[in-house]
Amino acid sequence: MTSLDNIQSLGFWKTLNHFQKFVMASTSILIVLMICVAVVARYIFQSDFYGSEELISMLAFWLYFMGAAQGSHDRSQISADIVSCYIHDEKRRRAMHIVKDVVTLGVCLLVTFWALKFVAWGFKMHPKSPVFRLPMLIPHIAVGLGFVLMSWYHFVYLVQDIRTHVRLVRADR
Amino acid sequence: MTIAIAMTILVVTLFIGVPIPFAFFSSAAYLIYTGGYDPSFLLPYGFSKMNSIVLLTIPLFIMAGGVMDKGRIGDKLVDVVDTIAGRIRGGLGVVTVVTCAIFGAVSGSSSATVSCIGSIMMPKLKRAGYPVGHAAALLASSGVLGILIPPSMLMILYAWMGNQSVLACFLAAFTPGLILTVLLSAVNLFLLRNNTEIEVRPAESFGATARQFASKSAKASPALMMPVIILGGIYGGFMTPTEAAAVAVIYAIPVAMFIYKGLKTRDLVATLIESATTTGVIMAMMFAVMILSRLYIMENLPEQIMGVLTSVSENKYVIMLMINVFMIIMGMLMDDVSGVLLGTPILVPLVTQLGVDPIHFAAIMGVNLGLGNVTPPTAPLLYLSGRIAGAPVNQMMRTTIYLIIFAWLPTLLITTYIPEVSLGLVHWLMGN
Amino acid sequence: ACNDDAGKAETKSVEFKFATQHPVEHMAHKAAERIKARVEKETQGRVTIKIYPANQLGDASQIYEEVIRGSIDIAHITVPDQYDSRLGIGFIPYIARDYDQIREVFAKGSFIDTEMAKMHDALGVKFFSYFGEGFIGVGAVEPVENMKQPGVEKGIMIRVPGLDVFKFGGEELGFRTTSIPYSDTYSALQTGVVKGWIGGPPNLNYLGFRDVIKHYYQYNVNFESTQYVMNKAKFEALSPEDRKIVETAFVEEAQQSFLMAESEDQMYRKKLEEAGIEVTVFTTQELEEMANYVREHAWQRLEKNLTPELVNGLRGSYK
Ligand code: NA
Ligand code: NA
Repeated sequence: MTSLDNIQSLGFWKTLNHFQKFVMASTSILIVLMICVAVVARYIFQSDFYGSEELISMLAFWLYFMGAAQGSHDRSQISADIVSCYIHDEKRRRAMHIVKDVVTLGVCLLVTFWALKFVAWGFKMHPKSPVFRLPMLIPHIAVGLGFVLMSWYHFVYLVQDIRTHVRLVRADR
Repeated sequence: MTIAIAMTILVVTLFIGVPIPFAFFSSAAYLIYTGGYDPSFLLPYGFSKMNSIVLLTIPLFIMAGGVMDKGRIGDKLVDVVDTIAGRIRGGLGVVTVVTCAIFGAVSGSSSATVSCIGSIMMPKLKRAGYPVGHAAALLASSGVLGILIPPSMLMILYAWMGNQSVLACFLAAFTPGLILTVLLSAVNLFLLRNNTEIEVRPAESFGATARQFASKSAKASPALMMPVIILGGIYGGFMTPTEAAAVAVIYAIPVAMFIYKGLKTRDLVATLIESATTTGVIMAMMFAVMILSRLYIMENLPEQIMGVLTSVSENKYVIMLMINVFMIIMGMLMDDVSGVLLGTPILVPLVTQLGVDPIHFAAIMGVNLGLGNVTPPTAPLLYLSGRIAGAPVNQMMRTTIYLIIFAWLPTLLITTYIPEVSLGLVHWLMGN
Repeated sequence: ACNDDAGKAETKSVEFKFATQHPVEHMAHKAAERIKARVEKETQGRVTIKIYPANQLGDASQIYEEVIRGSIDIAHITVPDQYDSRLGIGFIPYIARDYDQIREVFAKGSFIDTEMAKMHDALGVKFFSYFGEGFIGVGAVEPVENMKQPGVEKGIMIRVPGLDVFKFGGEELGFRTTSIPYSDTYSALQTGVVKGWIGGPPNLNYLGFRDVIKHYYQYNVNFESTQYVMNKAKFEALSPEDRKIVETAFVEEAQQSFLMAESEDQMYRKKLEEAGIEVTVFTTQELEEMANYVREHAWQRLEKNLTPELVNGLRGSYK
């Protein structure tokens, strides 16, 4: 468990984050380019980038869900944290924070479970895309992996928040 | 009763700070396990809803906005407006409002508008002696013009969920956006009319002003071309909104990198990753809210609400007023994106039954949830603006209340009760 | 339950979720309501049906997936082909040249009907019947050149749905095609991104596009069909008697639809004309020529996904 305190400095943590960032940047670029190619194809060559939509949609799911995981990594998921504005006692505020972390992780794990069942269904039924007949597992896996990563980050932050809290309480703060 | 508990769970989890997607999921999970539903359809449902090219417009506009923000494209716009409006008492406030409106024509989101224009205008406003609370409040309200003046992320979402034309929704919100621009400027001038602390630049000759305006406009022209490309491209029939958004990204990159030199290659990748994170966070929220709204439909929420509303009154105008009040409350509790995601599937069937054109309702919802961005407790733009300005929220309240009463509510009432305000432009440009 | 029935062996009633993609104004919704009334009456309330119209529970591909899973019981949808590429066969271009032929092709016990039932069955779905909604033509802003000669350049680019069956049909007729989502089609026509569109029978051209199109050509290139399907396990859990009631209600309504579709097509073509749109219909002879040409050229391109066996079987089934 101690290693979770400084996990941010471990190679695994960094590699994972590099992977996410790589996917986010490359899918962004590819999506923009493919849409522009479709526009050019229509006006300059009077033809059609047929099926581009389904390729773009598949990339989009990787963009969305790696982005969502990055949101959890950066602790930048959108929230409407109102209660803590009215708690002025530091200790209580930290405890509140932990309650929030626990609820978040619990719900996230449940959804991750659903998401994995969703991916498993794809493995069983092999749904395919309409034009290129590519496996729909390509975007499905992005959803599954996205939620697994979110669970992972929320888990790590929960453990870290608890340990910080315990340490500060021991130090009587 | 089940619905009431589900709503309570939603509000409680939101308030204790659970990220919005998971707050939505927790409410959905409650409905699933008490309603005897099989959860297996939820994820595929969210997936199929999000498997949409129209939806992709949002990350593209976020990307374009990110590039423009880093590329100092906003500075040039401020310069142009400043040469004209900077010379009257409170004029710099008007500059803030108008630049937000113009920046709104290239940016699809209100927070991008606030952070970009705010970071440029705030130092100027403070130097000129504007009360910091007033300046921050004005900026927060003006930021909403980013979602009323097209392109608009909120309108794209509405069109996507309500199965309406994106272009029509864009046009519907435009005139309410202009009305709000005028009213915000007017309230600003009125509040500052007797403030002697504010510096006003001495008047110059007409010729000098014209020369300055011409030279600043020339510098700003690559930036000013963006709305021409985006809106001209969509309305001129060259591109769908999604395509226009992609072209906007491609156009913004060289402008930001080579013309205004605000963006380095290294920043570009960082900007893309930052935009992708914003996208992901929004998409996670959408994913959750789609699932929740499907459960609301299966639990007959729209019918239940309609039942309650019609039991109060059968009059269309009274019901519309109640729907507006409902949305204002929703706007107090959540941000605009969550509001449109949660509100559209519930409210569009209601208003259609009342005979309200869904395109007209797009404008009503835009103004209403736009207002929600500056109404506490959940007032993301108010807080963002306060942070940029370094103004405590309590100092922002006086101006905010004036703006709500004399600018926001009149705009909302005009938009709600005079359908021509939003539909006029749509009919004129799109026929039908 | 402290009522008089408490002593009796109580027959449990079951409620089915019936999801459709049709808005409540559509004739298919009236059909759904008739089925609901009939089933509830004939089973004396043992089976009740709750209709979720207008894609309320998701789009067609989502609904079909849920029918497989059983979280939706019955559906009236355009069946997607993601679980079996052959499920799209009903949209093959010139599946029929006119209504006389359509009624034979989609009749109970026909080649397609039998094959379709097998494909659904393998996925755990009970197939009731095809439901006819109209012959698809081309709505256009500008007149079409060489309109009667299949395979000859038509001079305009048209929007097609992003599916081979529509794209290849349009191409073989002689159109340049581009796939644009349905929701963007109106503004694409209005602004001139495309000059015409394929994908709708006369009613859709009238209801959604009469203000933008100037010409309508009744090419009959594809036939707009949907299907009544049900989760197989849920169907088989019914008593034999109720199974028969349910199946008959759906099948009879579906077979009736082909007659309704024909008169709807006529009615809306008339309305299109009244709205000042030039409507072109073709003679049986002309349609036969187009059908032969397109079947010869487009069908083999479609064999990869639809499989040669199925396409050849269909070819052999025409009298
Ligand atoms: Na905007
Ligand atoms: Na608010």
